[in-house]
Amino acid sequence: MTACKQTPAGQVGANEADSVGMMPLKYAKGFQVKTLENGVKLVDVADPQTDEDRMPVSYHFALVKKGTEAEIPEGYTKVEVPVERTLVMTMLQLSNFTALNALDVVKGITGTKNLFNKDIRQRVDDGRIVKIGMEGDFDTELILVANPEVIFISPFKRGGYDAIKETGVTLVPHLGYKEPHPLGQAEWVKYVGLFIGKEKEADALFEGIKERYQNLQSKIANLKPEECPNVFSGEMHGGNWFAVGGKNHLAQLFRDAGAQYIFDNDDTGGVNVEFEQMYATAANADYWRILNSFEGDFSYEALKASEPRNELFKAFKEKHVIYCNMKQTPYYESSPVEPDVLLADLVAIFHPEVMDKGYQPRYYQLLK
Amino acid sequence: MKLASKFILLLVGLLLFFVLNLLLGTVKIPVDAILCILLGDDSQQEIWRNIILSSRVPQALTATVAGAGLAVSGLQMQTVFRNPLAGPSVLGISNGASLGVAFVVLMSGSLGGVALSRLGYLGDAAMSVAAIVGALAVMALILYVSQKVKGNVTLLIIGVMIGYLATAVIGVLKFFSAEEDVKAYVVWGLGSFARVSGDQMMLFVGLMTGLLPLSMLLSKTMNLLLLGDYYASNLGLNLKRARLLVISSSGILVAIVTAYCGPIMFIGLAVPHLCRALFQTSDHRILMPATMLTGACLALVCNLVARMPGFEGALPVNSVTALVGAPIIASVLFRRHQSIE
Repeated sequence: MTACKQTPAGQVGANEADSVGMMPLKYAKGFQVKTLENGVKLVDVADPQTDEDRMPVSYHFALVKKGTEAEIPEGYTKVEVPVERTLVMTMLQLSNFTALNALDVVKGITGTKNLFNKDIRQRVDDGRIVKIGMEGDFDTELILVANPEVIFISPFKRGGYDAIKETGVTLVPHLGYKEPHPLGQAEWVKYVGLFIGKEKEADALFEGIKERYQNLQSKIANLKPEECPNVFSGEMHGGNWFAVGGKNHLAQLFRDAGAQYIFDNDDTGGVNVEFEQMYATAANADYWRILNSFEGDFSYEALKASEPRNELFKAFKEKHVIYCNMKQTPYYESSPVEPDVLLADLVAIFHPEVMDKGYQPRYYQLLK
Repeated sequence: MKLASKFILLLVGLLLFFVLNLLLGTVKIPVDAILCILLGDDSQQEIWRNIILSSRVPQALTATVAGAGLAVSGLQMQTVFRNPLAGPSVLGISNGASLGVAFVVLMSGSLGGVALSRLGYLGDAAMSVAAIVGALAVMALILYVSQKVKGNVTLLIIGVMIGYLATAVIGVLKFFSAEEDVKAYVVWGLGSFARVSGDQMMLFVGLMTGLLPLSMLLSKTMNLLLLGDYYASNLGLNLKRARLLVISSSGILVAIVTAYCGPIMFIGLAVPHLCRALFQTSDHRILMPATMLTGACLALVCNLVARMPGFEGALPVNSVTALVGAPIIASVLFRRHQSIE
């Protein structure tokens, strides 16, 4: 066992590319794929945060090659693949398509605020991608015009899908954001790959991510507990502090980067914590991770201006704030498929000695 | 019970709940340590000291003055409109504050103005400024209208319409906003006594301790207003001026409280009724201080309940005010009406 409770590295399934049978998924807990004798791929999707051993299956899709007829088991929704027209609801989903070089398939997105990708912006401008309104309040007519075969949704967020269901479009849940491991989140790229006929590309992409992630992990595998700094995350908003739980993928990322996340609980999502509790827990933590949108250059003065009590934290006093500005960095747009880069950024802060000199961080750096 | 003893009881209650607010919290701190900290002893744990001095004390002070301000503001509105359902939010003043905040939170970035978004991040402080600007703008509009129209009911309806208008604009803004921004706005709308600290808190408490006694000066005017327009003007009251003064006082109080704590419902509407029932009078020379004390007490109780252990973080104050307050007030009114029969 390593000191910072890293995920054990280097245990890869041996038979990666079985033509028939289960597709081995090492990290993603939210979906399973089984290939039948007749070539039909059965995809079972469920909330990755519920039972770990026995996945309570709640969505079932049978992927059938376009133009072929095949029997599918009962209870499965038939989807003809490769899907050529789809809509996506979140940046995380969009990141999968961008990474697979499959933006042609995307016919609609929810919004372009804070969107960095020039290609996508261009597509929105010339009408190849439409904006369908925000999740929970769609413009049904625009959706019908976009004429998607399936729509990728994040069903545990907001409703508003009933009107779309009426139109007969298949809704496909994408639950990557609920994965408790950063690599699990990235592995959902395979899920998208299945639907749009880019399985090989997705596998190769994920293998690369995983290798880089695990390589980096192995460099800091033998840290002693006292060499793992403490880190906390978030900011005070409206009287409460929204802190992610100890089972969240962010907490896992901290651990894999050789740090200790201050909350060691079983919460996967986030919890609201009062200031005094947060302060009692994190006052002496070594590092403080902040992700926000700030016009211009964020600074310690701005951090203090937003909440005078912020200066009480040790991490503030020692200028150990790990910062990512979403106004300047495409965090949600690309980090879901780059956990290796996120990890490298954090390792460069926690344990700079193992990184190459002159490493250029892409998301996180110490706030100056 | 005599009048004096009722007031003493309220004062004792206020003190008790204030102290309880300092003693109880999610982090367990021994009572003697808290006493030492409050007496200025630096030897206690720094973390505890910071929790008490930078978190619990500001929060208790904020709840006290906010509760008092909202209650007084509600009483003034109910008197000026002679309408028991009037409250601080009835003239659209708090909607104006919400609109101001919505502009800062939701439009930041999308309006293209760098200045505006910078403001947006200054976070709670910027929201306060926006809320005050929005509330005062609506209030100015109401005051202008109040000098033009005669009937109170007309004014009330126009106020309600302005409120709807503000809500509609907020709806449109929300529709075109990114999800994180909408979330930030919703959180603001839940109301909280915990978001003011440091210099902001000093400013807020300072402003309110100045304004609350000032509002007492209107007690006599409000007594006259209660008699009805006809009698009041016969007794030499300049109706237009009286209305202007009372509405401004009420509006400014709501604007400031909303700016720092978010739109907090219920206290302003309910506390005046509670006080009328408890004191069995409609004399504002008694009601004004009584609502102030009762409002502060109720806010402190709500703040205690909101932070009771077992909840995830602090509950939204807006839910707690109604959850705690509605049964208390309903039972008081119910008992009073029973005893009259």
